[in-house]
Amino acid sequence: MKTTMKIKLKAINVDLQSDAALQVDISDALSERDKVKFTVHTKSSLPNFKQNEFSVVRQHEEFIWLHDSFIENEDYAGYIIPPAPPRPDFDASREKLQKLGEGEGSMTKEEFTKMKQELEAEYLAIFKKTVAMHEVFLCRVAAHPILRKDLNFHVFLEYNQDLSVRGKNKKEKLEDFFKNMVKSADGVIVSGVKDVDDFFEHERTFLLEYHNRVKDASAKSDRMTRSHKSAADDYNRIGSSLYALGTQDSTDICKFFLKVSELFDKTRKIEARVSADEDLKLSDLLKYYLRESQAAKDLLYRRSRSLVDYENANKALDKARAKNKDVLQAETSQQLCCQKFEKISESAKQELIDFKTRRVAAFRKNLVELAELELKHAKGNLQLLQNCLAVLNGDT
Amino acid sequence: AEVVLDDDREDLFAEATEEVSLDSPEREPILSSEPSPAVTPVTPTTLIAPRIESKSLSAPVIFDRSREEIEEEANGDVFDIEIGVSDPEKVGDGMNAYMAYRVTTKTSLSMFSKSEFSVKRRFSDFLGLHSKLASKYLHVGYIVPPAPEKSIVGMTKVKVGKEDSSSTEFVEKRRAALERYLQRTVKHPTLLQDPDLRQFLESSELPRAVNTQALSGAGILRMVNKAADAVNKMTIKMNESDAWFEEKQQQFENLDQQLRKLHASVEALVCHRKELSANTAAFAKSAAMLGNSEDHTALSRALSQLAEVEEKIDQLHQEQAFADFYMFSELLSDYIRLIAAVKGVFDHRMKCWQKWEDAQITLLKKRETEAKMMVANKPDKIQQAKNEIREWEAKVQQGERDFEQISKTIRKEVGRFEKERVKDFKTVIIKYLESLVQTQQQLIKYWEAFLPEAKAIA
Repeated sequence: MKTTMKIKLKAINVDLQSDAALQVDISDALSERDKVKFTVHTKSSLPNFKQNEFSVVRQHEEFIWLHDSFIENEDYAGYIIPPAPPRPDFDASREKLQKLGEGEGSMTKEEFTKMKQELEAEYLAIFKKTVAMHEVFLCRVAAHPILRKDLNFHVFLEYNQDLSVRGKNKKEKLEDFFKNMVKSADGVIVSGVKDVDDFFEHERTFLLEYHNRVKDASAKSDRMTRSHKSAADDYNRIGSSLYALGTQDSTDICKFFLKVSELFDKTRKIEARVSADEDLKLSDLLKYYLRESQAAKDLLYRRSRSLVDYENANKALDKARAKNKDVLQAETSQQLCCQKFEKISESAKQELIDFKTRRVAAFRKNLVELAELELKHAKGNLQLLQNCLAVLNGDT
Repeated sequence: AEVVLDDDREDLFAEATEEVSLDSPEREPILSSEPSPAVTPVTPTTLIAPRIESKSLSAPVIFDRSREEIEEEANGDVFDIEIGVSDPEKVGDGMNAYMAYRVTTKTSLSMFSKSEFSVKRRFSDFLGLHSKLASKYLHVGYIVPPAPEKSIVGMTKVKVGKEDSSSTEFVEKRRAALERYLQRTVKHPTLLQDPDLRQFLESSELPRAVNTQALSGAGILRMVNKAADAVNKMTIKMNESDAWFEEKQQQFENLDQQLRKLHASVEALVCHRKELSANTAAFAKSAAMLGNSEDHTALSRALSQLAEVEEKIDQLHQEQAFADFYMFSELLSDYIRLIAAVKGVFDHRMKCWQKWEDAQITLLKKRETEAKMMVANKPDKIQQAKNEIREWEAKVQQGERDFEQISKTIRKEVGRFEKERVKDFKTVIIKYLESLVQTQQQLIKYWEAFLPEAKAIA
């Protein structure tokens, strides 16, 4: 199924300092059978680029390549690396559309059209989401004072050919898996070291707990949103059945049934919107901060790692001095470790403060919008119901 | 128990059926699939009988006014009788335990000795009442409201003493169903006149209905009879002279299908709404935990508020699920069973026609026999044949009258049923929509309270 759309999306994250120097967005997207093509549009006054405004087409793998290049860059160890966007996943939606096609014979034309519209709307919603998430990633990078200068990022934005970054093959994926395992084992060891610095000690305790709770909240919010959608789908079927009753009944209850059927159709649209908005404003928010808090945890881990390295270098220096052997080497090594540790600590502190600011702002924005939307929909629903009741009571 | 069977139907009086043992000959009419001639319902004409103690079991009862007057009153807005089923109470222990329900009647009708009274009844009493009414009125074309269904599983849980929410739910579901059942039954002007019904409502003591025990011999016999019924129906090919009946049967068939479909969707809604409630509660707890671990004070507070709102909304979903079920879903399942009763009544008419048809065929055979005997010149056999012919001529006449009567009754019943159905659906659905209105109004209140909290995050 091909879907093209011009997207004007507001990023989930707010307060991303998008200034005239560098503005990035996804202006267009095309969904083909097994891939999505994003049109990345850049506006910049920076001298680094050949033009002031330009666009390229990128696929998901290229975003991942960019993200991984940040992770692997030692210079960025002291920053929260913006989390990679999740892979576009239309499988479930596609499957449903296929099942619908297969079951076309078993339902009325009207039902089929209704369900098809529903599933297409679902597909579109997933599509919009994946575009938003890829866009947020780019905006975060563009807003970061250091990352925005990254060469790979500029290549990503400007190079109008395919970056030829194939997805990781099996061997590389396995390597990744082991790297992550080692990291988490390490993470346990390293986090056992109590930090001298109160700020980081507090942050570590906080992030560990926060990450777990946000994970739980995200999962529960997902389930809640899905139940809401199921109920909305039921309204759809009830509306259809009432319609059938209304057209077939021999008594004067026909009009009644038809009116109620109409009500269910309209109220269903609102309920579906409620579910979609809860998904966007609550579930997606939580999912995003799940990923961001993981990125923050990763930063803390890198700092702890460098602290351990520094302490080991200290011990090595003491030993070298005691034995009076390779002292200069040990001194240099210790100096480097010290510098690295201090650099990371300094930037990490600022990153974590920024993380909190961003988080609070994002939650505020989304919770306010959630409440406003819930109110809007409840009022709309109420209006529908009251109008319908007025008509029904007037008739009887 | 005396029954006077007369060709002149105007002198018949109804009889309160009494407790009968498993192998007494009186059980025959209750169990047979034939229209029962021995126990005839009150026909819509004037009744004359002496007034006797209304509490005695086998006495016929009188009416101050003519039936028609009472029925007219019933059709107008002066129809004043209200039934409530309440206070389920567990009586006894273990597998012999049962639920007793209080049945309260409030009425201004003069046929009752008091204007407000209540009795204690158990589920099998209701089934017994239905069984009696069905045996008297179904086969002559009256749509007798079906009783709520038995549930061995549900009842076992209650007996065993499980005090959990599923058994409370079961009892409440049953209580509501019993109430609706009685309300429908008393709304029927003919059934309201029935002494068994009155005894059920008024008598402090009621003989235990034996033949409704779940796996009793009578139960099995009934199942067998039902099966035989089904087979018979398939082989009756009736010459429908009246298009109205064919049309109506088709309509009820369609209605049945549509209601079943709608019922399935509403059941799904109930299920999903309950799920939504559970998931909302889980999310509320999770949001509270998240709020606890959030180290920004204002955001932490807002998240706790969100958790509170979601908790309240979970309650709302639960209440709505109740409304979905007790108003919408149960209405539909009641009507699916009512329509089965309607179909049954049409079937009885077919059987009635078959009986008439059979009598005509037999009469023809008897006439042939007579002719044969005349040719063979056997005077004693001729006389016998003539006697038989007279007998079967009477039966043919009776058959035709029965058929016309049942057809007439069904027409009236269907008219009444349709009117009731329209009223019922309109009333209940409007009530249901009002429950939806309430939910939305509450939602608005909750979110309006939360919004300033969210905005206060600084």
